[in-house]
Amino acid sequence: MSKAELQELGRLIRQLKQLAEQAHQASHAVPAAERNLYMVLRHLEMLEIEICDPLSVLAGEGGEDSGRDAPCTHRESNNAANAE
Amino acid sequence: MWNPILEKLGPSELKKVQLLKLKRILAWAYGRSPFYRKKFDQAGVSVDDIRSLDDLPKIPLTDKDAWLAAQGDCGQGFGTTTAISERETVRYHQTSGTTGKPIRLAFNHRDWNWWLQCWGYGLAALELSREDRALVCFPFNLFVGWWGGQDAARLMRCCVYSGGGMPTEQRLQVILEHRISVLMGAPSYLLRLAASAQKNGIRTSDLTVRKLVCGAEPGGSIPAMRARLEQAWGAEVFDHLGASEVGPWGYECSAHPGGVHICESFFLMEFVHPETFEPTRPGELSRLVVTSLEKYSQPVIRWDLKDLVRVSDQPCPCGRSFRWVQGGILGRADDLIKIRGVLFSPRGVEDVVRSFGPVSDYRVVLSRRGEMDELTLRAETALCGTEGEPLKNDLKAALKVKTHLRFGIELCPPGTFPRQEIKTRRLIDLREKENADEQG
Repeated sequence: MSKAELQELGRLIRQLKQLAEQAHQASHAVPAAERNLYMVLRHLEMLEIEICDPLSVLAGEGGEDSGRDAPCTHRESNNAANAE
Repeated sequence: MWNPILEKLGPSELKKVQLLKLKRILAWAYGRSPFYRKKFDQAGVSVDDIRSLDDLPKIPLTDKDAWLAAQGDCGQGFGTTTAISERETVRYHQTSGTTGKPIRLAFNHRDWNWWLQCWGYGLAALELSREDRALVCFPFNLFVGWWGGQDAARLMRCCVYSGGGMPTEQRLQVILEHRISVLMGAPSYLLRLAASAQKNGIRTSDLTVRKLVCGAEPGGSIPAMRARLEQAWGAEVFDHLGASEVGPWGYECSAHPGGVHICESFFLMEFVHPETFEPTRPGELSRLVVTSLEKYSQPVIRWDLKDLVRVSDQPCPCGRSFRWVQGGILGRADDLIKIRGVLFSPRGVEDVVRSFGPVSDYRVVLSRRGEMDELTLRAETALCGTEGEPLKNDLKAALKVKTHLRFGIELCPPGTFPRQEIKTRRLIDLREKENADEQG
């Protein structure tokens, strides 16, 4: 795979994650959608750690910012904490 | 390869990835886990003090005892060790408790997916494919091994058969009927499974098993044990290393360099002197200190694993840049015992005994006569009486060469020792009991 192809893969993963997050936020009234989109998001996180993190380092971003937020679990945990 | 982007990263790029992950997990652990917050505060270390991987030793070590203490008074919960709320926990596991009370382990969805990624590196390295049929023979209980192997094999898209909770004869039937090509299990159990096949008139050479994934206990890298497994099954052996608290951190590739790769994108390893904890150089016997870089539910930061390894600085022919440990786990820092002035590790006995075909299992009994420590090997074998004398002499001589210690040898009939599927304790130390009896 060329460097350009890898960067394109990283870009598509981030785009997919944004779409999945939007879909998840819109799905709360339908458990079948909400639960499955939740699992999709957990899988997309694996793509971030496997693909996006190393690509950001290879792109010379120094590893300080991989182009992604903190792990989803942060937000999940914040939400859980707020709900309690 | 599971992920050539990461597995072929150069050392400086890999360090950048590790530092990125380290900073995230440290900030997370400090912010979310009372256990780590207290630890950092007591040591006067802040997350911002860790600017490079070299700063890591500023953080105090953690180990099983510290987690046990943190979980001690919390009923069925996880104490202060977790960094997520209880409602986010979707999987509960626990350690085997071989050396004491089990540690309780919490996983959220994300961390379980990550755990399977770690397995993915190992299963891809043994070239598991969609054509394979894998039987997972780890015990079916709260031990994480079976669950990880089962789910990860599914992730590889091969056909996976649950061998958990199944008697040995039934497992053999599944292997035979379903043309199983990959077995996962503890090495001593896989050896027993082969012996059982023979006993039941099944020739392992007629079976389709071609790869063995050894985990849950040492053995997969012990040369004599590997040779016996390869011979018994006519299959390729792959060692798979991990710890329930830490994650599946090591895997063997099909180039078989004589050791096990460390999954360095997920695990930051420090190699330190077994007693002084000073950093060691490649090739030196080292104690392993692990930081799990993607474990968010129950962070593992500078965990003293107490495993002894020698890290190689040689490249592996497979092309992975992840370093590898020569001969897998070489022993346990807490298993090293000084006997008559000689440092003794039970792994040496395993290596010798497994090279003797007629011995099916064994125990090492450590006792005290007067002021002297004595070692006795109790070997399970079908040979008895005068027929067993040559075996006794050969075992005695081989153990002396390997360990520099004199052993008494006792032969016992097959079936003497209880069978466990994983982590059998083969060292029985009677010295404390004898001391207590004398004082009592």
